[in-house]
Amino acid sequence: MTASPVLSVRKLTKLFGDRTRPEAVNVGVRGVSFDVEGGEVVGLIGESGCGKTTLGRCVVGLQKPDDGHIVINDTDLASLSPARMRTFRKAVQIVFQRPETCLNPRMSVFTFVKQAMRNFDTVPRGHERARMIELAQLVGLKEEALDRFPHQLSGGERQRVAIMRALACEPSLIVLDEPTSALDVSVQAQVLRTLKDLQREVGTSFLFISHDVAVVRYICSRVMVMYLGVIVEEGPSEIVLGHPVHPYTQALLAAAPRITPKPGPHPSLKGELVLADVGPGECPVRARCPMAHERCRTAPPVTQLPEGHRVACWLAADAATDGPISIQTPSKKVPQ
Amino acid sequence: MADVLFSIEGLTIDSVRGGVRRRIVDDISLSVERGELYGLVGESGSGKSISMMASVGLAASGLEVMAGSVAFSGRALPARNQRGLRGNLSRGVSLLFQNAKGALNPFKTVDRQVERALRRSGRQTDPRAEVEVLFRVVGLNYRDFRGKYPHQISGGQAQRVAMACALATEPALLIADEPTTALDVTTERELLRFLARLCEEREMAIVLIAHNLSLVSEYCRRLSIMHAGQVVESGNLKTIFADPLHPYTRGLIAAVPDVDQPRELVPLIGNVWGGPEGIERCRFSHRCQFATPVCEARHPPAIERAGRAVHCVLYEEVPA
Repeated sequence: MTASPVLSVRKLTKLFGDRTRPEAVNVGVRGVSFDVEGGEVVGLIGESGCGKTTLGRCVVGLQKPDDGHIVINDTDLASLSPARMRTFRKAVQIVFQRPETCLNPRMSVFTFVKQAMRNFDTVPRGHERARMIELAQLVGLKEEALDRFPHQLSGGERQRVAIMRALACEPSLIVLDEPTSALDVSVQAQVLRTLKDLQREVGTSFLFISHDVAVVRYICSRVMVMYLGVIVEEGPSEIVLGHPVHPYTQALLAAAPRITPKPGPHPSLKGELVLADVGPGECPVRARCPMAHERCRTAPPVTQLPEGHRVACWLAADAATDGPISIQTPSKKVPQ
Repeated sequence: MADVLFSIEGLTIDSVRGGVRRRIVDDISLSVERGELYGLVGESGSGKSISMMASVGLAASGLEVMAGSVAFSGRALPARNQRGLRGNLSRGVSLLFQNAKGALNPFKTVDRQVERALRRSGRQTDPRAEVEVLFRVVGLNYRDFRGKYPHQISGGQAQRVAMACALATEPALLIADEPTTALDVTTERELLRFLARLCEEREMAIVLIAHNLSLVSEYCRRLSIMHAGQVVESGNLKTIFADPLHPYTRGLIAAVPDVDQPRELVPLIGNVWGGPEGIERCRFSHRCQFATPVCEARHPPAIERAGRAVHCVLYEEVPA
């Protein structure tokens, strides 16, 4: 019954050195482990510079990790020869933040997507057009759009083409790197709706990278909160974003803009994400955490809470050793 | 409307490109009081930036101001007189843009840029000393930033430096055009809070241009919502958010995902400029589920209803 996960990442590390300060904590990903199950939508949130894009790029093989394993459908990426890697890329596709940078301005949508189909032989020759019309419908594009060029499309339509190209490869996993942050709210709503419908119909797994907690809450069933290359909190969306335990998640959530602002004081972080403030071996959030104290100079262990909720914070660790932590579990009813 | 600092009356702008004339701003009016944080919201391409730029005399080439007037500090000028507007407003109005790093000169250190802004304002006797004060005002430590180039600082810090330049002239009005779009949520919130404080402490008025309603919700008291060059609804923010009347306002609110209570998103259909061109009509009609033949014939004038002004025939008469 329990199938193996589509994506399994173990102790993934990818650091970017700063030659002038070799002792400092580097940007990138530091020993991250997680799984994405078949058909699951997992969100990865964090501020710019926290390493979320690096993680996404490692997963699709655009960057070579320094250490750790990335296993996709039981195949370790590191074990693949360059030739096999090329055909293996079919399994994981990526959609970037700015669709205009990934579309070819000199190719019509049809030619562009056909290239992806040919590349991996996902559709027999001669059947491309029919399949493309199906895909266009799936991502909410009109059939006429297939013969247009990128400059004749709106931002939302371009992003749909990028999603369509990814789907044309019939991947098991699509990494979406901030797919809607360059779009207007109304267009964002359209694309998010499309993604949600798609996910239901096609069943592809998504790794959804974003800095917008509201968007992630809307589309993802599980979230991971990343800070300076480590995951500080993860678990089901309604728990992590409904009743966050980590001070960083709480602050991130409080900072999110809302139509109806929350009254009262908000937990907030000091300053900005600055690498220089973090010493080796300490909790990465310490420099900005409103609750930091002496003990945070050593990195906290990961505490397991009910329902697959994991938190890397001393506060959660303390609460857990005192006995079962009392977290309000939201009722299963979906709020109207 | 006690102390109006800045007001736009009937501003109308055409774009003329390749011999084709299109009306891109259609008879918009708004007024901002002293010390007020005013929101101007709409999708990209709805004409928010274009109208604000034209109202301070910075209409881009290819745009033709057809009608309207702009009053600032009690002095009104026709909007067609762009040069006159620039002269009248340049001392009292500052601008803040979306891309702060693009607004700064990459070849000059940030402190020199702020100093230059101070010198050009011509009102400081000792610009050097004043630079430090300005850095403190925008929440940056002068010692850490002296001698730094724009590429060495973060986006949020660059936006603060741009703020310092904007404040150098001690403006009475600041036009902030999507100042937080390129920033993280945490930095975004700090910047908005800072703008709100400026309004309060310095009696400075700010027009905050945004495409996301949730951005203006916390700090603005009043707002205007624009669609395809027309103002569709304007008035007190709390009143409008509690009970939006115009179908477009409702659509915008329904399109914003909610962090606290996730609900299904209802996207607006179509795009801003999708409808028929060149005729007098409500420009939302091609996207509106309540559209009637009347909407295709004219854009209704402002209707005072439930504490705000709304431009929609739905509210014109008692429904039949």
